[in-house]
Amino acid sequence: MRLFYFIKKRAMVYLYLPLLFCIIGYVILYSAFASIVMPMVSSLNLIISENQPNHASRVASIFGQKDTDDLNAETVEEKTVQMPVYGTHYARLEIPSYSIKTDLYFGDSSAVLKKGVGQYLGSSIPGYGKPLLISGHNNGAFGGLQFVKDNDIVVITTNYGIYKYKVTGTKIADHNDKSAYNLSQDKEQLILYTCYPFNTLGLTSKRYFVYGEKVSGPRIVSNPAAA
Amino acid sequence: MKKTILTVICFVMAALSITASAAGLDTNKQKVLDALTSSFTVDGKVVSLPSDVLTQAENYLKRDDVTITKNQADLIVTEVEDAISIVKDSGAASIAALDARDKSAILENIQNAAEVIDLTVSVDSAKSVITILDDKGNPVASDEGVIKVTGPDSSALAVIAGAGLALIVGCFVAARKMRLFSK
Repeated sequence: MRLFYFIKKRAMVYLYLPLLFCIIGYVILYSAFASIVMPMVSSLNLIISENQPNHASRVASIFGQKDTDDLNAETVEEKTVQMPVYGTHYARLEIPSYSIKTDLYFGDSSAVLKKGVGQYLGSSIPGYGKPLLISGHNNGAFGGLQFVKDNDIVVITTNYGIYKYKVTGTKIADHNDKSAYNLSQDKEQLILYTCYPFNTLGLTSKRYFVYGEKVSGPRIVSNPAAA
Repeated sequence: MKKTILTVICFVMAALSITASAAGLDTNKQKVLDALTSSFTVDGKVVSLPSDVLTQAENYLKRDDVTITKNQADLIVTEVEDAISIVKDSGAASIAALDARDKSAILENIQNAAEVIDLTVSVDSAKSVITILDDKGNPVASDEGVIKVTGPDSSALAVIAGAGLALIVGCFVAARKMRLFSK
């Protein structure tokens, strides 16, 4: 009876508050470590699962469906090139000097950028001789952009060709600064960007741009005979 | 600005002009693209679509699953020309400056074209963003900003942490009031 009275009187101290702190602590820990724990749980599920996983409905990819035999040819016929639909994984982007390897998607919504790096819809795919504007998270693959320097090579592998771009410079600019990119130029300039500063949590107004010029890769031509 | 008006009009028309042929541009697709690429003069100023808008239209037209018939191409070109004429005749310097009649006329052009094909025009009035979606809901084109957010979004964590802090403070205050800390 006395114990019951004691618990009732001290319920807040011995029951409710510990319970509350426990829940709060769990939520905070979950938020902080979800990005680390979830992949581990997924991997574990893959190991113990009896069924073969089906990711087709979640990730659209045309990468790997070879369009041409010679990925290093000088030209590639346009009709053999498959134009990707928004959100489609269509290429692979690598910066070998820094072991940066990531999937390249067509489109740059926040959903796409969670998967890899994304290309702005208003820029052209490799081979058309027009600029490519590609973005990625600075806490993801493009965190390594801070180390990239002039003359480093960026490789974009598509189904129809392997494209190499030599880094020509970097720039820090405001996200509203239109002088940081020129999408109307008749030159296949590679423009990569991510948020700046690199180690800042939360949203920033600055972007870190890396520029590159094409050094090799097949040109897409509509009429090979005329090329 | 007139450029903005025409961008929006042509942008919508570009997307509406298309339904589902082979990679590259056939005659019909090229006809649409030519209409969009053409420039014109308003009050002595040469106006044309921004290159990124044209590229969005071109990228979509080059898709394998996109075909456009001659009739569709003609319709779209007509709608583009009509919309441009409206803007030219209005002499407006911005969308806001267009009167209600002109806005309705342009909207009608868009709706007429939309009835022919299976694309959706989504207008976010709050952000002033127009997005064109295909029949599967994939964005085809958008006039959303070119540069995107690429930093870690820790806002969710901040909200949770804030809520947790508020709860702790609330509990502390409640405990004090209930004299739970007194011996």
